[in-house]
Amino acid sequence: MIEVDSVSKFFGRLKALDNVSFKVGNGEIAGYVGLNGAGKTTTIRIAVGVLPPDSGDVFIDGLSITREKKKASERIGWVPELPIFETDFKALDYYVYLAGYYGIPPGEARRMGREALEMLGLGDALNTKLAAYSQGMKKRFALAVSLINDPPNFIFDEVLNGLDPKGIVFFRDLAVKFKKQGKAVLFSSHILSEVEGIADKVVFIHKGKIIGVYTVSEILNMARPSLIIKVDRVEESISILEKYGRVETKGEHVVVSGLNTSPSAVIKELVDSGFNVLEVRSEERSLEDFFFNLIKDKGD
Amino acid sequence: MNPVLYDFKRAFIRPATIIALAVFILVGIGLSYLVTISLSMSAGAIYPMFIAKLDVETGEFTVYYVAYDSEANPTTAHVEIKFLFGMAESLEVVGTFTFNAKGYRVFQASLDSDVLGLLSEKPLFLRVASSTPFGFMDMTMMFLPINNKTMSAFSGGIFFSNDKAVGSILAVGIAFLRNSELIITLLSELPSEGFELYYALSSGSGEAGFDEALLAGNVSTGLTVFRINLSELGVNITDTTMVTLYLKDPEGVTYTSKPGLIVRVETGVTQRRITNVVAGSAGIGLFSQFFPIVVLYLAYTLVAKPKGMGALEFLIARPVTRLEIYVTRFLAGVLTATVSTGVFLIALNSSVFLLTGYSIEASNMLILFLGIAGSLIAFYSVCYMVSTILSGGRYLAVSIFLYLFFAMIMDILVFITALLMYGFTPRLGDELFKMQATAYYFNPLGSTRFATYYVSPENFPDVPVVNPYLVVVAGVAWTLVPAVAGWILFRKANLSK
Repeated sequence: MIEVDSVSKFFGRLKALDNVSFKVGNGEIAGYVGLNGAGKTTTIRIAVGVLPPDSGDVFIDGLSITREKKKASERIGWVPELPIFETDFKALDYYVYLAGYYGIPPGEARRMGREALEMLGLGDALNTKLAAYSQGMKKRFALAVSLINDPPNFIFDEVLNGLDPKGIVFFRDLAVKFKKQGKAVLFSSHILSEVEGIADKVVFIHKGKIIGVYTVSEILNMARPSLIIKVDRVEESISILEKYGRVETKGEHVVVSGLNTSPSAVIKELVDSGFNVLEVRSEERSLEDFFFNLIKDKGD
Repeated sequence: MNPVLYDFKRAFIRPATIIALAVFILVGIGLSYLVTISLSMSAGAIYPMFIAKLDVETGEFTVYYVAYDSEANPTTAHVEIKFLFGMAESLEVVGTFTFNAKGYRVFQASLDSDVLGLLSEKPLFLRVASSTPFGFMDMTMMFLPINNKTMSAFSGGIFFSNDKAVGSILAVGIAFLRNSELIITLLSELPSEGFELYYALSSGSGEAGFDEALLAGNVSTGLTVFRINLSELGVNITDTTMVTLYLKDPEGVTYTSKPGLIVRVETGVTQRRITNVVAGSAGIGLFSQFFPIVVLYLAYTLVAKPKGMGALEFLIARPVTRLEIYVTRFLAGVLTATVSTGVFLIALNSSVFLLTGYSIEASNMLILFLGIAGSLIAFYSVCYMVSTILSGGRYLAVSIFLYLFFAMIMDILVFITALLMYGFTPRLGDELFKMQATAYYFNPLGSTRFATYYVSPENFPDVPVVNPYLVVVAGVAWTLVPAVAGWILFRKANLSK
């Protein structure tokens, strides 16, 4: 389990994170969504122990990343958005070097490294310098290293950025596989639709603050098409329309969002109730709209 | 592999380090030749001995040769022998031969037959030029007839004459006194086996009789060396003590030599000479002056560059703490500096030993090692601290400036200050040294200067400025303070690109 507990972080005077808290349970994929600069990567860097928080803590399976760094780090894997390695290493040599920090002797590390890198399609580049690796190759290398001790928790930080469709499918399928293995997976992105298909819940962050935690089904419900109706008696129509979704009035119009029935059924109910329906239109709400509305409502 | 060893391996076995070390090892080997040349340029610090026997009918000759250095140890020698005819004012060379001797050597060759015909006309001389790592010596001796068939030339002879005037035995030898050991070296050609050597010590000009003589041991043709521990005998040798030698043949006939002086030698002299040349030379100076560039580069490679790129983040996400990363890479650089210094000094000392048979005294080697390694480690610590603050090009700019300042500019500033304060006066030299010595305390590279001071104090003015306790404190402070300060900065540093 990954538990971010009241984490705050300043960069100079800028408060990058403000009391951020959320959990990712075992066997769960949590999407971590926010605009660029919202604080996703800062949260993740703190969670994997590469950046110290100014307050708060992160617990990996109950182990504090600040006070029990080594033990906590053994239980979490991380694929960064832009993996950066020391350039004068060859891939297999760097794998062996990093494996040393897990207490794995060089001979065994070399064997493990060969197997892992070959499995991830890097078999032909074992003795290539990491500086020559493409972004996709670097992410797979980072994945291979993070899997050295098969940790029960995993964080993918905007891992799909810059990948071709094959790479995108690979990492999405991998996240699902980890979930089935009972691992806790945190999958960050600035595109909600990237996490829609795989996440169980989504944590939204904006300007360093958590603005919402929703299950995917909740999000999808809230992102369903809205019905915009112009009726002769707006206020009286609310009590009828409330049972079909969330209702809000905008002047002469009533907006019903998160419809739980078809638009025609709603109109029939109004007409049967004696209302004059002057105008009806349906408005598609995308996930991004949901996201931006969330930011608008909760963020600013 | 243990990460410390891995980081040390990649710090030490990288082209820049290896090439720099190889260059300085070559410089060190070159320095050892410089040492040898410097020692060999001094005349008279060696004791060559020879007996040459020439068969006048066949022209075949045999040379028994040995050379000792100023500490009564056999030394290698390149020997050139020339046979010369004529009178002292005009000598004509009729034969030249060369050989190398590693201590004792028996050399045999033949003169041309047309030379033999001249033997009855003019005197024949033998010039023996000995070149050793410790000096050179030329000796020219006339061949003397031994019998109808044989002529002999020899260095500083000891004639053993029989008291019944039956015959004489030719030998050359020297008696050395080294500490409380009497070393009698004897080159001889004996008529048979079974001879014994006796010795007697006397003071003043009096000759000791055979009754007072002690047995030294058996003698055989060629070189025989006897070592006698005088402290066990309770004998005290003074400047006027003489030694008389007796050879006794198997039949009991005794041959007596004239009393001769004992050559006093002192141990450690050659080592001190070598150490002074080494410590004051370009080799050590070049290494300690320019190898800091390598450690500056190591701090860049191990910390500044990966930190600037953001590469340390992925590393720190492993089961490792920031402190471990910091300490591991610090130790890697320290080990590299230490091992490099050790390799350089071992190569230098080995080369000196191979060329001269002497090595730099162990205590001086240790002082030089601690001084040079201490300087490199201290400077590395400073650069390491800078690497935790700055990355990439900015680190290089600052660290190169620091190197130039501590390696060169500081000395210039001290000199200018001394000149302004004291002018071109007789005091300038001593005052300049005092100021320099004081400045070394405030210089991470100062340990090397202190080490050369302690190893060869003769090269410096006798000025009581250098305090060994302060030297140690300064060295430790220059290492620990930047290391700790660097850690304080590193533990909270943002390691992203």
